[in-house]
Formats: sequence, structure tokens, C-alpha cells
Amino acid sequence: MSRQIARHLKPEEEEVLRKREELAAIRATLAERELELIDLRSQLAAFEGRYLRQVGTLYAELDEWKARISELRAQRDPSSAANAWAREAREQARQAYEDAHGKASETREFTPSPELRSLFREVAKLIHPDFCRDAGDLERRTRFMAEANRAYEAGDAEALQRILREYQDGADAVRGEGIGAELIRIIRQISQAKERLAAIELELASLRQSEIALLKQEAEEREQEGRDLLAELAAAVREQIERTKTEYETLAKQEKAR
Amino acid sequence: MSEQSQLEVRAKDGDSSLSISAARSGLIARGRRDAEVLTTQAESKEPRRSFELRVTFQDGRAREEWLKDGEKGDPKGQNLLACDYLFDYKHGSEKGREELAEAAAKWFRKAADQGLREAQFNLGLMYDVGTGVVRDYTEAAKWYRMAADQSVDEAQFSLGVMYDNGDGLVQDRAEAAKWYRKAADQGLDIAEFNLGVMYDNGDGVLQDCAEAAKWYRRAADRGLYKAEFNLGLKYINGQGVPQDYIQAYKWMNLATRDAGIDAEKRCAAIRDRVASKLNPPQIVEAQRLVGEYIDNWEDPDFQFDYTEAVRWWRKAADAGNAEAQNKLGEAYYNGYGVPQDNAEAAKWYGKAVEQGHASAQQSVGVMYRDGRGVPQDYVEAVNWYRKAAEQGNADAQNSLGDAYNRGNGVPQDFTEAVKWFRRAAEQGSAYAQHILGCMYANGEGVPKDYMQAHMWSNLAAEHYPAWATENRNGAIANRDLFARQMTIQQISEAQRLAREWEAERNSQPENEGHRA
Repeated sequence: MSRQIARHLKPEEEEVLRKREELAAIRATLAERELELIDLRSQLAAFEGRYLRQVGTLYAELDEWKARISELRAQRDPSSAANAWAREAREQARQAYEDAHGKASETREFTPSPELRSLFREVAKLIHPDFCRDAGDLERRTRFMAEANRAYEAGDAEALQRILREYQDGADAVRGEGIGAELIRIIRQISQAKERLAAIELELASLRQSEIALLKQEAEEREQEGRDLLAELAAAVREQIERTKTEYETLAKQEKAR
Repeated sequence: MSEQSQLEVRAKDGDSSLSISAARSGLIARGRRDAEVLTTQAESKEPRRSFELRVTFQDGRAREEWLKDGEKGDPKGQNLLACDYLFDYKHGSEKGREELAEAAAKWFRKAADQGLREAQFNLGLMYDVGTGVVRDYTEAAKWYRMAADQSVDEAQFSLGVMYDNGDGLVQDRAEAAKWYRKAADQGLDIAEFNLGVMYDNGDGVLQDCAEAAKWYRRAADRGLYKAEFNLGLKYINGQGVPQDYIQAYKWMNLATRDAGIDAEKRCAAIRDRVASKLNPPQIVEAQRLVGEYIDNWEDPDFQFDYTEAVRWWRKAADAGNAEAQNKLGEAYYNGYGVPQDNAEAAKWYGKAVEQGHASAQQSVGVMYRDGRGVPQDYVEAVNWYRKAAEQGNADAQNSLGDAYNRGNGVPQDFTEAVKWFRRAAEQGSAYAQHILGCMYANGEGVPKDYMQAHMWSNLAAEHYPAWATENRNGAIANRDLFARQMTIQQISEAQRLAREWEAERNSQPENEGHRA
């Protein structure tokens, strides 16, 4: 239809127009998927944090008692097997403690506001590294994108705004390429974006199949039943801790009596 | 593994948020395992409770006369008098309530001392809950035992629980099992159930899952949801009973119906998990079983609801599970739990075949053959049958055989047809055996051979399921028709071949995998 009002476009101009539209559409899709990915990642990280605080720390405590028991046993029976067992149990306890109290356990719930999400979408559309023009541009975009990811996860709308402004200040100054060059650039950008889309799909799929995602799903199903999986798990581990502690104390008493 | 390494590479690129590390997965996997155990934890024993008082009306005498007798020293009258006091205690005004309860206890004791078993049980109950007397488990156990020795089932049960928990008695699991058994033999559902749990856990008795399942079954038949639930778990895990999801579904469904508000969701959750493992025809069968069972209980207001199963399939299908995608396709294709929708069916089958799912490949082939949800195309149909047939799917082998027989989508070729029917027939497909019989009789793709024809028709008649009456009759008619062309010796030789085939098949039940 536009053809009738506008002057006749040359075929390559028409092609550029079409490709520009395609690029715009794919930019929007890519931004959407990036948002989905970052949301899923932070939800999983938040759940993992909650799990580690509520349940993981208890497993670590349980392993501590188990390690103490095997060490007592090794004292009494200094065979190499008992010693190896004790070392292994100690290592397991150390690992569990480290994992349960590590950085991941500090991740808190993350509920981005609709405004923040749409801001991130804008940023991703504009500065996604897959729309770079050259190596220098790629480096710059990658840096900005990483910053944007961090700002989003921190829920920092102001930082996102700033990133957007800073990026615009320095960007898109390079103009004046010929139509052929533009066509090639857009085609390359589209194909890079498609590759990234495929990579995102793969990552989303593997995140959804990860242990923590499956555990989270399980917890959500319990919630539907009006139950609290993490609390139930914690109670079950506490029970194990009590039993193991009693076992340790009995052993320790026997040791003293000897 | 390659996905994992890709994740790690991206993490290094500056995606600091990625937290699914290999190191912590140990802790997380532990949580998942323990969560699974929690979900499928069997229901635990029934506790003792304040049962109804045992009242002793015997004949048509007026209540007042009984009460008079009680005052004169007749134990039945005394028991009734005590029950009366207790009724006033429960329903009367606040004033003087304690005195009423104490009076009840006093009259129960008088009757109990005279050996009236109902009164002994009632007095035990008073001590157990602490009404009219100071709560005293030792006294309770003493009176329960007297009533139990006189065959009061609830007294036997309560005494069992007291031994089980060590309330008022030295804990003794074997003794607990003994008393549960006495009450169970009298048909008390909660005692049957508790005895089942004893066998399940091996406390007080030798652990024996079959015995546990037997007692669960008895209590389940009385509508005790905990027993239905535990029996369902037995069928899920194949402990003490053959592993059977259809039976598991049936019992979990009944448990869901019989459970109170608190437990209903838990039962329903497990039931739905079981449903997600069933195929639509299996669900129909499970539904029939439940319907039949409930009919016996004269409670026909039951209708199977596929929507739950579909919900599960959808969830798993969205997560990329090929089996679930296939089932969701089947649901749309047949209109189970969703409106019939060929396009949706094609979509989900399509996702399953992307993952190489054999049964879905066969279904896609059928959709092309019939032009349902896709343009009619015999050649495409054959392509899909072939993929599934090569994976060992018997239905697909039959469809491919049909295609070669009729020349639909491939040049007609009896030899190829025989090849594929034979593979399905060897897997026990009655249809393939039926057709193979005909082909031997006609000498199509194979040399004419009535003995082979007789053998395969004979096997087909044997293997058609009960509902396929027409097909079965067809196979029988063929067999008898072929027999007319054969000598007695040939017939008995053909029968021997069929028997041998059957014996060999039974000796190696899984000869060709259905699915990769």
C-alpha cells in the first residue's frame, strides 16, 4: 500500500525496509526472552537461597554430627578403613557447611515491578550485544548489557535509566553507511539474534530441568495442597539431627566410661 | 553435559546471577530425594480415641425399670444409669457437672466389678480420657484388658495402642500386634489398618509387605481412607502386590473420596501423579474399576475426570517430556478431558516426534492417512509409520504392513508386508497374527502354507482382547476354514507349533523393546 503513495523504491531499498522490520520484531522478541531468562534465573536463585537457609543449613548440621560420630569410631578403632571413613565424613560435612552458608544462601526473593521489567525490555532491545556493528561496538554493548543485568537483579531502576542514557549518548553516531552495507549489517544482526534466541531456549530448558527448578516445582505443587514443602523437609531433617545427636552422645559417654 | 558447560561459560562471561553450581547440587539433590520420601510417606497408625460408650439395652423393658434394677445392683442397669449421668454431664448445664461425671464413673465401676464387659470398656475409657476420674493410663489399660479378654473389639484395639506406645504399660510391639490382630479378626477397620502398618514396618511382627497389603485391603474395603492410601502406595511401588498403576489409581481415587478435608489434597496429589503415568485406555480401565467398586457400595455418583490427568500431562509436556506430549496429543485426538481438536493433537504429537517418540510417530502417520489435522497424504503417513516401526512399535509395524498390502503411499509389495506383520506378530499383536494367517493361506508374499496359516489364526484368536469379539470370531472362522484343507496330522502339528510359539514367548517376555 505504501508503494502507491511513496516514490517507487528500488528493490534493495524495499529489501532494507523489510529487513529493518524483521530486525525490529526480532529485537522485541529477543528482549522478551532475555527478560524471561533473567527472571527465571533470579527466581531460582532466590528459591535456592531460601532452601539453603531453611533446609541446607540443617543438612550441614546433620553432616557435622555424622562426621563427629565417625571420628569417635575412628578413635576407638584406628584401622585405616575407619580413618578413611572419618576423613570422608569430615570432608562431606565441610562441603555441606560451605555450600549451605555460602554466597548463594544470601539471595533474597526478587519480585521486579512491571515498570522495572518494561524498562529492562527497552534496554535489552536497544543495547543487546547481538545487534553490534563491529568488534568495538560488541565490547561496549556486552559491558552495558552486563551492567543492565546487574541493575535489574538489584531492582535498581535508576541505574537502568542511567545505562540507557549513557548508551544512547555514545551510540548510533556511526551513520552514513551505504544501502548495501546496511543490508549486510542487518542480515548479520538478525542471524546473530537468532543464534542468541536459540541459545536462550536451550538455557531456559536446561534451567527448567535443573534440580533446583524441579524442587521449586515440587514446592509449588505442595503449596497448592496447602502445604509447605521446605518446612516439612526442615522438620524431617531436624528429626534426623536429633537421632544422630543422641547416637553421638551415647557413643561419647561410652568413650568416657572406658 | 554440554549444556552444563555452556552454562558455565556464560557464567564466566559476567552473568553473576547464575547460581546452579555443581557443588551445591549435592545439597539440592538430597532435598529432592527427601521430598519424594515425604510425598510418598505411608499414612501412620490410627491412635486410640474416645469411642462411643457401650450401652446395654437388652430387651423391651422400659428405661425406668432398668434404672431401678441398677439401683438394686443389676450390672446392666448400673451401666445404663452411668451412661445417663454421662449424657447429662455432656449436655446439661455447667453447674454440678463434675459430680455427674463422678457419679457415672462410680456406677460404671459397680457394673465393671460385676464383670459386665461393656462397663469395663466404658470405665477404661473414663480413665483413658480423664472424665469423672483422674486420668490414669495404668487403670485404663487394666479395664481395657478385662473388656478385651471378653472380646470387646475396641477395647482390644485400645489395649493394642497402649502396648504400641507404652502408655500405662511397658512398650511391647509384639503384644500390640497380638491385640490388633484380635480386634482385626473381629473386623474392626482401624485395627486391621494398624496391623497392616505393623507388617509394613516390621514392628512386633516379621516384616511382610504381602501381609501388610492384605490387612490394608480389608480395612480399605470398609472405606478407611488411610488403608486405601497405603494400599495405593503398595501398588505404586509393587510391594506385596504386583506393581500396577491402574489399581494404584483406583485406590488413590477412593482414598481421595473418603479422606476428610485435611488429607484430601494429599491423596488427590498422589492420585494425579498416578494418572499422569497412565494412557487414556488405561484410565478408562481404572475408571471402570472404580465405578465397579463403588457400584458394589451402591454409590453410583461417580464420573471420571480426565481434566486432572490432562493438567499433569500438560505440565510435563511443557517441560519437554516426550511421553507426556504424546499423551496430551492422544487426549486432544480422542477428546479426553479436552474438546477434541485435531490441530492441537497434531501440535503435541509433533513435539513428541521431534524427540523421536515412537508411539507419537505412529499417531502422526495415522493423522496423515486419515487427513485429520493435516492434509491427507499416504506417502507422509508411510514415512512416519516406518520411523516408529523401526523403533519396534507394533502398531506402526501393522500400519506399515497394511500400507504395503494395499499399496497406499508405497508400491504394493506383499513381501514387505509380510516382513512387517511378522515383526508385529512376534510381539504378540493379534491383528498381525490374523493378517499373517490370511497371507499364508493366500500365498501372498510367502509360499502358500496352511500349517502356518492355521498356527497364526489360532494365535490371533487367542490374543485378541475380550472386547474385540468380531475380530476374534473372524480369526476363529479363518482357522476353521484352513483346517478343512488340512489333514488331522497337519492340524495337530499346527497346534503344536502354536503351543511352542506361546511357550517360547512366555519364556522371554521382553523380546523387542517398545520404546527407545
